[in-house]
Amino acid sequence: MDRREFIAYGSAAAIAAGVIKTQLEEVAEAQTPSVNLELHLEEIYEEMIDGEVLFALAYRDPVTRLVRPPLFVTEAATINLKLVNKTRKPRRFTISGTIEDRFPVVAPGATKTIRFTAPAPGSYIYHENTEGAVGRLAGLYGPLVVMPSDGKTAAGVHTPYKDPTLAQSALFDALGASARFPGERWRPELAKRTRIWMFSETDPELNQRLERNVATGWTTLKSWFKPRYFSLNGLSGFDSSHDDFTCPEGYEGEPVLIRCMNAGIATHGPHIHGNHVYCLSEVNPATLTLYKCQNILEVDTWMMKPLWRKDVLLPFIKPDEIPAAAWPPKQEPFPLFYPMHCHIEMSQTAGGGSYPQGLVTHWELLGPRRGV
Amino acid sequence: MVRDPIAFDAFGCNVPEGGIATPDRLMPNIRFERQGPRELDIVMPDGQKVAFWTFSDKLSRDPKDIWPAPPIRVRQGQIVHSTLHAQKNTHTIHHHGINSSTYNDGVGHVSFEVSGSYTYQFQPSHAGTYFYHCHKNTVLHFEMGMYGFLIVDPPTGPGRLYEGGPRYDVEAMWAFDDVDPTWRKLNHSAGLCGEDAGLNIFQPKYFMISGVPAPKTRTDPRVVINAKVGQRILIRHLNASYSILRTRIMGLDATIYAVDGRPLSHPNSPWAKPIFVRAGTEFETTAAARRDLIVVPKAPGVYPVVSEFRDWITGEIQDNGNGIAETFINVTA
Repeated sequence: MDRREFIAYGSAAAIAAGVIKTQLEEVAEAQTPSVNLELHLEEIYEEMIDGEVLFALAYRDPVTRLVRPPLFVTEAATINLKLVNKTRKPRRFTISGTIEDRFPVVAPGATKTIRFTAPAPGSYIYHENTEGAVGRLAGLYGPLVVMPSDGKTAAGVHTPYKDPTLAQSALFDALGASARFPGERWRPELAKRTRIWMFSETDPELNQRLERNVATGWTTLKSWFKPRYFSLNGLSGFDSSHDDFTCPEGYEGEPVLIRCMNAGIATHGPHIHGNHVYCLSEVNPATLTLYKCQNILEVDTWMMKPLWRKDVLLPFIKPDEIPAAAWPPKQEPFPLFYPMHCHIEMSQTAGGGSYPQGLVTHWELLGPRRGV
Repeated sequence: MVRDPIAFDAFGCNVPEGGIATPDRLMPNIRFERQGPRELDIVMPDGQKVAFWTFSDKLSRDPKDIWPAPPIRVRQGQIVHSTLHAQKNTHTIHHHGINSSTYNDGVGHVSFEVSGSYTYQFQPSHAGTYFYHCHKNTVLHFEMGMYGFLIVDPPTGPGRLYEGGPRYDVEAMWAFDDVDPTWRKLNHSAGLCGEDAGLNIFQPKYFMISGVPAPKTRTDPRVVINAKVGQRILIRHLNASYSILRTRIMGLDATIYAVDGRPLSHPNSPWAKPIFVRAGTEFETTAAARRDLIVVPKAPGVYPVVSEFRDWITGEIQDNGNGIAETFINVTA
């Protein structure tokens, strides 16, 4: 038990806070060609949204103490990652969409440093794969964000990608420069203009098997896995809907990039209210390798299969169907609140009920364009 | 974590209720009134009666309830008033894909659930395929059937998908749904206040298109498309299930011209283009997604359309491989 630590929801919320804190730090650090990182693999306890406390696993940043910390690096950087395995089983670090088993297994109690080159700019999931999906379903996962060294369009507009496609360039060039998108460009230097939404789910049965250190039954996992909790950035329901670092907020004309990732084994169908989003990048379903979209769809509902990553742009425009004569609203107060929730609605539950305490959050439109 | 208990309860268990006046109300160009839930049974092919909840059209003279609920059909640019009369308990209407103000969005935990009546107001900006549904205890109320199509036509009316977009001669509205009969025993507020209602486990046994259970979908005129060679067929394809839906149109090429009410061939969206779907190849959608396809048959024939409902975790076809709905496009000279 001395290796485990109780993580309450307050701490879990701080994970998302780390998204922002570390992002600013890492942007500076990422200018260097080499990055030294350290993650500890730990056994912890976590409180679910209904008060249930479950054994879990997590990668932890030993300095910030954040679990499942986001890692931000720049393309082509050399990453020296020190892994300290404090769990009772051998573990292998891996990254979605890259060669699965290229890194060595780290024995219980052992420390190992691995070195790799940052993949192409985009969104990735780091996780653990010695027993298929078991490690990540128990909590051994986190986001890896690779930023471009030069992600500008031919017109000099920032994007999150190296050599953006014509479609991506057309969209980003239009932000803040067209009737459709009045306001500002996407601004990568502002932490609030980027969010990470990491989806996952939990079946307490699996967590209990891991706690008892018995066979996990991982080879037949899909046949018995029955998730009872569904999370977004490690939070659920009320908590993920009131977390400053999960919920996008801003004024009209302040677009936000949202990096969606699915660490679970359930397919999710996120649906957003208030604005449609633009799908910027996806993965090849067979290889999970990332690609930049050449045909950008504007959707209110999108598919997230296991280990998929999909970057979407939330334009923060005036909601299209508010009548022009009723904008800005006079009798309805700002901010306007809009949910994002998975429409495979079983994911909206916790412990078999408690709708909507599952995979849900909100975005907040604080008001019409600033200064207009 | 320390949470404000009142705010926490208001999030799901004890959501504010009301029948307030519509804020910033304008004079409507068109109005609808929906009353619900209305209960009806559908007899499945195995003889089982399965209960559904729907909305009725309060302005209609036809007292017969139908499921899915009667479509709402409007034109781009109209001021729409859509009134919900909550017949029993509290409910909402969320006009899915319509980006309205929070009070008019029909999500109880960020606004209110309707007891009595409320008039939702919006002005559609994009012609295309949408739907409306109850957003209270959605996991259950949507599965019980509280939804219907919402079609936004261009200002010129039906016959063209959107301004500058493809025209069509024949129109079909296909809502694909899967039904777990065990959930029919639950109370409308099942699970809302912390009890385990089993709503994380979904095991559908019936598979339907637009209210018709498979395999009747093969022959029922509410589903089967009849067209002539050269006619342009518009299929409004809605995944109203909790499955991953994999659809193949056999023998006919199709082109997806819009997704989720947004055009793929429009000068204002140079980053998007139509998606060609070769005959017999599959396209997948997740729950609540819409696809608008145009099919132009070049030869007479009977063309099957096969949709597989796949489990969100296993990826396998639901109900041990029985989760399939098939229908046909009948093309004559």
